[in-house]
Amino acid sequence: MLKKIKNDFSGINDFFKIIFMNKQAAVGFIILLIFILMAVFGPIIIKPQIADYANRLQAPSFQHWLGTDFSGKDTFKQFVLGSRDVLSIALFAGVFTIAIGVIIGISSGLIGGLVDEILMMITNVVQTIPNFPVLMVLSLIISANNTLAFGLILSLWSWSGLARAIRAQTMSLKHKDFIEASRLLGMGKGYIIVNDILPNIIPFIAVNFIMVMKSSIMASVGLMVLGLAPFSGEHWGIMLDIALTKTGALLGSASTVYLWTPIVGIVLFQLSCYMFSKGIEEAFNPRIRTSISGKKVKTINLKPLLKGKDNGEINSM
Amino acid sequence: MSSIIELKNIEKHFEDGKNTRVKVLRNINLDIKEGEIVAVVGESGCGKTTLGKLIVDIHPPTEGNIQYLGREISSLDKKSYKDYRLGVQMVHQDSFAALNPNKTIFQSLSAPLLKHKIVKTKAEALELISKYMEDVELAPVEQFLYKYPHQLSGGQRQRILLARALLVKPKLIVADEPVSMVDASLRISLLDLMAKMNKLYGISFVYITHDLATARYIANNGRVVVMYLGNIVEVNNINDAIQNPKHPYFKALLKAVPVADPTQKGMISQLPLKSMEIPNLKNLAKGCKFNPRCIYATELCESKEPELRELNGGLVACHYAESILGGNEHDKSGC
Amino acid sequence: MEKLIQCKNITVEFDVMHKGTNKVLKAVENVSLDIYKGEVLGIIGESGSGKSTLSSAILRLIRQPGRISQGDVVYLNGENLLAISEKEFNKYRWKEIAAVFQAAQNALNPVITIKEHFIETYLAHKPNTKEEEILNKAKELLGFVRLEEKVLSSYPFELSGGMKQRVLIALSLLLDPKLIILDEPTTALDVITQWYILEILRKINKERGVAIVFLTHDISIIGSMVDRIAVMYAGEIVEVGDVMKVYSSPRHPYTKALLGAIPSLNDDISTRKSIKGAPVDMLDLKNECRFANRCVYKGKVGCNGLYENANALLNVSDNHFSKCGYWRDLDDE
Repeated sequence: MLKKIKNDFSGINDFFKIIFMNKQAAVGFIILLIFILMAVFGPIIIKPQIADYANRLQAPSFQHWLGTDFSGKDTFKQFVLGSRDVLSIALFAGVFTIAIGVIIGISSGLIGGLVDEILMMITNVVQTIPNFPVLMVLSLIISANNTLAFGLILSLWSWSGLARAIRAQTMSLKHKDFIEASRLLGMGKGYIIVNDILPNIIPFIAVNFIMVMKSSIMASVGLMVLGLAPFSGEHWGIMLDIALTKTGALLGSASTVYLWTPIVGIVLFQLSCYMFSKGIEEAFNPRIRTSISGKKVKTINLKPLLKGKDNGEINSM
Repeated sequence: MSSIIELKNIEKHFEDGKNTRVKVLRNINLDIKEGEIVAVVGESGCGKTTLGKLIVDIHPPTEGNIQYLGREISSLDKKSYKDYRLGVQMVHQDSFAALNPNKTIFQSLSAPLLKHKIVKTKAEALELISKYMEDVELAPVEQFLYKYPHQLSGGQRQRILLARALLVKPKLIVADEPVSMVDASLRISLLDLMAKMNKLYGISFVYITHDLATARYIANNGRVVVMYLGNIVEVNNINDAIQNPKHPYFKALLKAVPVADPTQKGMISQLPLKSMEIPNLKNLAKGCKFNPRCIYATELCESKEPELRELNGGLVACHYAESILGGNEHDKSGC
Repeated sequence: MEKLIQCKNITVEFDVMHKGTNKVLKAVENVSLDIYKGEVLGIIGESGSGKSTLSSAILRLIRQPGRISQGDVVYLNGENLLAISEKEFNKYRWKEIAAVFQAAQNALNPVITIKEHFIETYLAHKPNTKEEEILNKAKELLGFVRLEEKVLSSYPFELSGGMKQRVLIALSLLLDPKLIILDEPTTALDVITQWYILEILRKINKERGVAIVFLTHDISIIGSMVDRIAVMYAGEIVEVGDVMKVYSSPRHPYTKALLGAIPSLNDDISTRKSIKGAPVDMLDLKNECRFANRCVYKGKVGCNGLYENANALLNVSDNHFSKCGYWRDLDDE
């Protein structure tokens, strides 16, 4: 009898079960989810703001939940609108970092020899060059006024740690018995990379992805505060920059809420990334995943379904 | 009977990384025939695991050549190499490390079948796998196929390793300490299984171990190859070898095997060895490599390395094998 | 003979998460065992038998999520080692009872020399001792285990597996204990090295009168080593007694089966029989004898396999006990 496992679905179910078992990770995940929803739906619901100077620097009220900024725009709405840029940059930075780190790490680890030496030399150079000053210089030269390019630039200096970790992991995996067994059974390099190596480095990748997202926000905000990023829009960094430069927030004027909003937002975002990452490693461990599966894995008998009968049996193992 | 694997004048050296060469295998000649079970025994540093890895081409030999069905492995064309690749398989010692922890058993076992077009669809793979799972006595198969390696016991995993090797229809299987990590009471059922596969499918086995008792059990009418520090020192039918050991090292080894029967307690003799430390592979003695520990060693032994030669139906590498035979303890060292 | 240690009704439990529910695993259940002064006792058990857990309990090394839920360990002087405080117990640890654990070669600190191991260990239990005194003792012990003095200045990675094991045995003797517990001390070692280590242990027992408890799954070691043997299965002691008696006339189906399943160098191969079936699921124990599902005698000698036939150690003869209610009827199958 044919039986097919719906592993994918039960896998995702179990993944979230573990995240929620770890209280810290659960909280982190929920906050992150709120941000994501804000970023996705916010700009759809809220229209771009128009300046309304008459209403500037108002305190929080029912109309304006967090008050208004120096040009009369609602602070809260700005915050929500800005979240899309923040998350887009973080996402792109994360994706590019992972892509570069994985390709270099696996190539270095698997191929070894001269290729390894050259790639590691490049990695060392990138790692030792001070991150932020270079970014400052780059942002003066390159006008990264869209989130994709900005994310790409941020990623150029964050992949070295990941590449190194993946290289180390690949090198240790290379000699493991089950990879030797794959070679003995004539499986090609492609199969070994995708099936034997990648699943074992996904925990690294996942954790690193979240951490890059976290640090990208600091980098982007930093550049914006310094006025180096030629960015328009409601990015939180811009809010911060404006708060500091245009409204004299540090001097204790009525716009402290406007100053604190992006700060709290940044802190919360980073915190949620950090907390969520705690749960990811556990969730990817097949041992923990299967031990908490309350219901045993279901199997479905497909043959009757294929033949048009409607009494497909569901057997639990 | 034809040879499946022939090792001719094999030498294997490893670089230490500090530019020192370690000679792990020296002057190995071995011929494994169709349907044979050969036990390779020896202790740490003897090179038996490396020998196994050479037979399955994980490492190439430094010198000498390995032939599969009469043709040198290193000069096989792509198609013939694929035949060799599937024809010579290995069962590892650590069954947990030898399975991908992120794949179910079915996924791990079906991948090679589909890749090499041994079957055309997943359904066919399932049928074939089920048949072999029953052969290795893992039934009902649904209870095992969809589990991850960590959900099974050591003994069950070891059977799966065997099934995985059998699925590609090999002619020879190298088993490197396959039962050492399995509970004592389950070992012979695994060994019986391998013997059954040997009879049923005519598969040759190279059984690598340091445990002489299990070697004798599985290779009971086959040969034993005794290795010491990279050399073969004795080859014989295993029962003859145990009854009449020819090489002083093997004699000592046999005396050291513990005996369960407590009535034999009073008969524990001293081991016929001058020292218990195993020499470092980087610091081998001149002449016969065993001479520093051998109670029969003479000046000849310290200067000239003995050849593996015929004696009474077996092979031995010792200058004084004849005089040492049958208990004539001619202790030439004067002790 | 005097009783050095009396284990009475020891039960060790672990909290585990199994398939989404919390369960309690009894790794050792209601085990009573005596250890006599100066004897060599072999505890035979495979994985899951509970032998390592039992020795951890005696040494008070059980940690969360495990606990000793009941039982006493009464020492020679009448004190219950499980009831005293941690500070009090330190007087016994290493001075009265020492241990060499499984894969203990990894227990050596890789960044200090062997000499420092001896000094640190000694000072931890007897502070204010002169270094010279400790080193003299160390040299004496190293000689006892057939190691050269120069081992003192080596680091662990410079030594072979067998040498490290001997260092650990020497370390265990440092404070002249009355008992040494060794858990699978020769498992990862060569046959010849194993022989020498067993030799050394025999010497320690004979010349120094130190009691030795030897935990292993390798029944072939017992012949050359032990005076008494205890067989453990699924958390219980199923047979215990003088080794000659147990070997020549095993009175528990598991012991019989085990002796028949282990190949040796000169047995008749055709008489070897594997034990069918698999060990019982410790998280799902029914009211059955724990060996029932694998026992060849069940249903044949009148035993219905229920736990009532296997819940107490019965006296087979002087110094020979078995948990099988039908021990009298176990003739050759």
